[in-house]
Parts: sequence; structure tokens; C-alpha cells
Amino acid sequence: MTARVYGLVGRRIGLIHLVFALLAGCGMGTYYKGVATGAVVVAAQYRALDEADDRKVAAIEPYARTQPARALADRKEWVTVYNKARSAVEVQDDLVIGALREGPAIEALRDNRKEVANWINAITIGAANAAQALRDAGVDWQKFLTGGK
Amino acid sequence: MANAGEVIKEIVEDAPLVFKALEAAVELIRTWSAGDAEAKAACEAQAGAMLDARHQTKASHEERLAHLDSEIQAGFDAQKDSRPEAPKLDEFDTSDVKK
Repeated sequence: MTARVYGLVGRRIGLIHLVFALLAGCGMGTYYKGVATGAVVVAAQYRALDEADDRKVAAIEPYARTQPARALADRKEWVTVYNKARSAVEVQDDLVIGALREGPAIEALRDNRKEVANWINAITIGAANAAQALRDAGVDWQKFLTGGK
Repeated sequence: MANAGEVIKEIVEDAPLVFKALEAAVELIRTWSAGDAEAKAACEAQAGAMLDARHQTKASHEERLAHLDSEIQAGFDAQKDSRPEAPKLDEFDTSDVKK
């Protein structure tokens, strides 16, 4: 799995991969820090997607009444792109929630290094996939990175 | 070479983005420098914010599409209304129709 992450970093160099890769394989405190970082990233991706959706739909509205067929086609095209991107972000979202729920069980293990590394790696891959889906949709999500408050 | 005015304009335009990046960096450093219990609490708070963003994104999308769909429907209705009414069947001369 770790080799897969490093391969991923090689293919798609970016801060997000490096951050998670640095966290992988460390202790329980790092586990929660890694999951929290995943949550911050996902929140930024949702905000970016929301902003892009607002912009795209607002761009179609002016001709919706005068050229409904064109508006319908453009709506369909955007919704397809939007759904694909949102699905990728939701997968990442589910991983973060899953990791958070598994926290106490992992904490109870005598040697939890493997589980910690696996969850962090899974979140890393999910984040990379979501980032790629957003890039494909033309959504710049990194500018929405905030504290998640 | 860009003149000073252009450079200043670029800096001002990029300022919100730089500020957001700094804000994110501060937040992440704060999370990473926390102890285990604090990290867990921070993690739960971030996950809560993430779920809020998820629900907000979904609700806004549905609302926007509902409004857009009503506009598109109004457009189709207007086109239908502006077309001349189709002649009724009994207005056609059907005498040449093969029985």
C-alpha cells in the first residue's frame, strides 16, 4: 500500500500527497491529525464545488427562457461533470468518517501501526482521486483551504 | 518586464488566496502540534465542519437546479405558446384520402 502511495506521489506531485505521505506510518496522535487534515481538505473541496456550481448555473440562467434547448443541454453537461466530482469528494468524505469511527478500535490495539498506516494511505489516495476529479471539472479547490470552521 | 503598478495589482489580487493558504497552514500546524486527546477533538470538529459543507453543497445544488429547471420550463412553455395553433383535423380537406 505504501509503495502505491509513493507511486501516486511520483505520478501526481502535489502538496496534498506529500503532507499525507509524511504522516503515514506514525502513531495514534498522528492518526487523528491525518484524519483531521483529510476533513479540512474535503471541506475545502465541497466549498469549491459549491462555488463552481453557483457560477455555472448562474451562467446558464440568462438564456434559459430564450434558448431553453441550449440551456437544457448545458445543464445536462454541467450536472454530469458536477456529479462525477461530487461522488469523488463523497468517497473521501466517507473515508474520513470511517477512519474517525474506527479510531477507538484502532486505539485499543496493542500494535496498531499497520491499521494507522492503512487508513492514512486510504485517505491519501481518496484525496488524490477527489483532487483529480475536481481538476477535471475545472474546479480550483485549494484556494478554499481554511481551518474548516 | 512588468511595471510596479502591475506588480502591486497582482499582489493585491492574490492577497486573499495567500491569506487563505496562511490560514490553512496555521490551522494544520495547530492540529499537528496538539496532543493525542486534543488531536482527536480537533479531528471531530473538522469532521463536523466537513459534514456541514457536504449538506450545504447538496442543498444549494438542488435549490439552484430547481430554479434553473423552472426557468427552462418557462422557456419551453413560451416557445409553445408563440407557435401558431395547429389546425384541427376537421379543417383539413380529407376528401382525397384513400379510404
